This record gives sequence, structure tokens and C-alpha cells, in this order.
Amino acid sequence: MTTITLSGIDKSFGAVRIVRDLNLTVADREFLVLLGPSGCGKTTTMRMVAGLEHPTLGEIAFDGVRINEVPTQRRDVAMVFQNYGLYPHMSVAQNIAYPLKLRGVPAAERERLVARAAERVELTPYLARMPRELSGGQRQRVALARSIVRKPRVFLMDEPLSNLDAKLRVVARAQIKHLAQELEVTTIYVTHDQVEAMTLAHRVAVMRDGVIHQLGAPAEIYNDPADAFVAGFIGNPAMNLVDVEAEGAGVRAEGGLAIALAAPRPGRLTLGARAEDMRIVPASEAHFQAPVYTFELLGEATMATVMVGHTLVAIKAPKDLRLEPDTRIGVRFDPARLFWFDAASGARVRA
Amino acid sequence: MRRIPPHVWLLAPALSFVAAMALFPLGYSLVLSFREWKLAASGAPGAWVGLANYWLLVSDDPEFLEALAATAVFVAADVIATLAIALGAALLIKRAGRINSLARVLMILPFVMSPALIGISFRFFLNPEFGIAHHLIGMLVPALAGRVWLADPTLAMIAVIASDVWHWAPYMTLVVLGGLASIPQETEEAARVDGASPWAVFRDVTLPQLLPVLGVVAVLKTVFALKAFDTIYTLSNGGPGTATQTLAYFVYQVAFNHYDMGYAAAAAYVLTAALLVLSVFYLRLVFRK
Repeated sequence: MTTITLSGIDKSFGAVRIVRDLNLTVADREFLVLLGPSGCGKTTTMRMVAGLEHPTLGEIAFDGVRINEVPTQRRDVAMVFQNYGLYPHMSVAQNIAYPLKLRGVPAAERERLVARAAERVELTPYLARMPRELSGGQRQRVALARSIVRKPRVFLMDEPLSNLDAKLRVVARAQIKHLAQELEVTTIYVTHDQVEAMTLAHRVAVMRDGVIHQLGAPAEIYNDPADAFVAGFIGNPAMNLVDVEAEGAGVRAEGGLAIALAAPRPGRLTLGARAEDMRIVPASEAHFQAPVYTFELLGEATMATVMVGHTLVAIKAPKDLRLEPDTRIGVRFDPARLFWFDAASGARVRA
Repeated sequence: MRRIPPHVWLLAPALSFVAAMALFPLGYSLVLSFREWKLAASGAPGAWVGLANYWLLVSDDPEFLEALAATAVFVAADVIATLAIALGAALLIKRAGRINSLARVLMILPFVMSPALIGISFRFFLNPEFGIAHHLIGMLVPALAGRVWLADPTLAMIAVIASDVWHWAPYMTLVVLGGLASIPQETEEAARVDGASPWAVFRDVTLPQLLPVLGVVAVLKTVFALKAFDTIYTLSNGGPGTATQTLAYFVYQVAFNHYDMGYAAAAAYVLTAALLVLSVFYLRLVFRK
């Protein structure tokens, strides 16, 4: 039952400003994902909540009470580290029991809680093993069990899935989501993987260069990106972003290709559209025409890529379509699913 | 005719050097330890006496037993003090920083100094007339003012131990620093998050992961302490009386002051046996999986 409030947080390492005037409130029992490329300050922000780093400026509060000066060990947070941070000289059971031991929980009670936590993450057969005798996925689950063996005020997870292979990541992701729903503890989860963010989060904070670019529910971030950075970061494939110049009734891409779309304002703009919001149509209905650059089979769909100016633009097409490279195709946008951004600042330009 | 493979030729110079400088003396002194050889009376080893030299050492030589006791005191105090200081100093300067990196560089200085020079320097420091350490300690601890350090059996032993600790602790600090650097930082951070106080982090997470390195330091330092000679020779000369005469110094005395080579060889082999056991222990510690 904890609300986390970050107000005016700044963090510099020497001359490098990692986090800039960050304001963020994580609601009680919320699952908030900090999403961004490496070096964006997301891990530093989380480490400040844990007390492993100290903000240069600003205040961190749990339930309205300032905790800047409270040392890590008294903040009652639990954290899963990227490399798990397991104690190599302790068995799995001892690793999981350590937070309880520090809190003076009697041995019998400790054993019961360890058994329960281990069961939750399916580690029961491995309790007597040492961390070095475990696979990556098992180690990750030990770290998870160690953090859920007690009920902390706040859960912190620092890219807990990044060291797992793709298949295991999907399973572990589901497991984390299930645990989070069951435990109902305020959670901050750091990742650079937008799929993790979309699937896990109640709200996502998209960060770059120490600044939150957008904070909102996954659908909101996906359907209504605040700027070109967010638009290009979220989605798979990323949103197509084409630099254009408004000209007369239409726009012209770099290299001279005319696109029959009305720009919301004159000048240099960035046009954004997702692959699934574009269709391959006959020339008469097309907004623009271009030769096929590559054509890929995805299974449930196909992906045609064309060159617009100097940018590759991906278009999702029905699974039975077949195209040869260099075939000229017409492309039509869904006008309702079209985004315009200022070419210089990346800010959204609303029609 | 069979060809001799090239690696044998390539190894031969090094092997013959080791054989001449280490294996031959080792074997020859073992042989000597079973013979009688008074260098003052004869230029060549004399009669075979079996284990008589060894028997004499343990049955009828209080000076040898005193040397054993002095060695035990010297080695134990030396190793414990070196370990404690190395661990403490390493924890103190493990964090990055300008002063700490300067300290790390300066650490190497005592180690590269000649032990004989260290002994002579300490002798000067402790000189009752103009020694700076003598005066400073006298000011800080009035009970020690005016005491002549190297004339007092206990103080002389402390001085000898201190000089050897001074010589080795900085180097061992660097070794411990290396050990600390190899501990994953995440384990210490995880412990803090789990609720561990700084002392609990050290006790439960840092120290257990550092134990192999501390073990190596302890064994190495024990070996070096057992062999210590130059500092003792130049600082206290084994004195006053035989108060700081360790086994290594005793062997030197018997061989090159009493010219009793067979007997010295036997005493030396007692030391060698101890070193051999420690070396095996050390190799196990370093090369275990």
C-alpha cells in the first residue's frame, strides 16, 4: 500500500546529467514501466527509489513521506537485478530466506515462507542447489522468489528478463504479470523492450535523455504518441516516419516523391503511419506509388517495404499476397490513423 | 638414432638452471642433514650419522626450541596483523577517488624496498638517541618513553613484526583490493535492498566472497614470514639475546657462525617441511575448481 512520488528529481554523475527535472507519481498497487533506450536514465531513476543512488535535486516520497535520507535497508523495497545479484555462497533456500533472516523471522516460519515463495516460481526441487548450479531462467526465478518472500512496500525490477532467451522470456513475462496481479504491490519495472512494457504495464513512462516523453496507458502510448520519439520507439515494426515538405495541396518526401495528403500546416514535417494502418491499393486510389524494395512473409501476414525519399516504409499486407521486388505499387494511408510531427522538434502537430 | 624433440631443447636451459639453483641445494642439504660436517675442522662432509642431527635438535637444544617458539610468535602475529591491516585498508580505499588512487600507487613503495634497507631504517627509527619513532611513541605512550626498544625482548619482537608488516601489508592490501573488485556489486546492493545494515552486508555477503583471497594472503604471508631473514638480520640481529631468533635466523647462525653444516641442514629441513606443507595447501587453494 504505497504511493511513490518523485518531484523535481535531477541526477548528475559529474558533468553528465542523467535525469532532468523528473516528476512522476506511481499510484498504490500500480504496475509502472519505465521504458527507454539504454542511457535514458530509467535504471538510475529506479535506483534512486531503492536508495542505491541519491538524487542531486528533488524529493522522493513514499505515501507523502520524504525518504531521501532513509538508507536502502530501511526503505522496505524489494528488487530484482538485471544480473540477479544472487549470493553465490548461499544455497537457493538461503538466498530466498536472507531478507527474512535479517528481519529476525523465526526459523520455522522462515522455512514455511521460503517453501511458499519457491513453490510460486516453481523452484521447489532446486532449494538445496547453489546458484552456480542453476540455469539462467532458474536464477532469475530465485531472484524473483527472494523479492516476493516478504511483502515489501515497493517492487523494483531492473530488466529482469533481458538475460533470458526469447522463448523463456515470454514464459517469465507471463509469470511476472501473474505474480504482480496476485501480490498487489506497487511496482516499478525498467526495460528497453517495448513489448514487455505494453504487455505488463498499467502505465508506461517513455524516457529519453533523462526526460519522460510520454506517460500513459499502453494503448494510449501506442494509439496517440506524444511525439516522434515515442511513435518510433513503440510498436513492432516501429512506426514509419518520413520527413516531408508541405507543398501546395499535398506533401513531397525527400527525393521528390509526391504524396497526396493534406498537411495540417505548411513547412517541414514528419509523417508517421504504422505498417498495419497502410494498404496496398490500385494506382487510382493511392496516396503515392513506389517500387517494392523487399517483400517478406511473416506467416500471419506479409510485409512489403518501399523506399520513400531516403526512408524505408513498411506496409503490412494480407498473408496470401505475393510481390516481386521492383514492382510498382500504390499505397493508401488510413487518414484516421495518420500522425504529423514537427520535423525539427519531433513534437506532435495535431490536424 | 632417435631425434630429441624441440621442446626438450627449448626447456633445457631453464630446467638446468632450476636444477642447479633449487633442486641440487634441496637434495644436497637433505644429504648433509644426515652427516656430520664441522666446516672449521674439515672442508668436506664427514661421517654419516643417520638421524642424530634431528634427534639432537628436539632432545637437547633449548636454543632450537626457543627459535621454534619465537617463529610461532613472529609468524602468528605477523600474519594476523598483515591480514587485518590489509583488509581494513582495502575496505577503506576501495571506492574510486583521487586520494584513493594515489594511496593505491603509494602502496607499492614499501613492497619494492629492500628488506635489508627496511631493517636498517627501522633500526634508525627506534634509536634511543635520535630515532623519530622512539620519540613519537614515547610521547604518545608515556610508559614506553625512555625504553630501549631493541634491548627489550618483547619490544624487539614487536619491532621486528612491525617492520615485516610494514613491508608486506601494503602489497597484501592490493591483493585484497583485487579480491574486493571481483565481488559482483549487485550482490552487495541486493543485500542492502533485502534489509542488511552495512555491517551485515560485510559479514554476510562481502566477507564470505572474499574468503578465498584472504586464504591465499594468509598462506602466502605465512610462507614469507617463515622465510623472513634480512629484516631480522639488519634490525635486531636475532637479539636481544635470542629473543627474535626465528628458525631461519637460527639456521643461519648454526651454519655460518658455528660452521656446523650438517646440524644446520637438519634444522633447515624442519623449516623446509613446514614450507612444503604450506605450499601444497597454497596450490590447492589457488588451483581448486
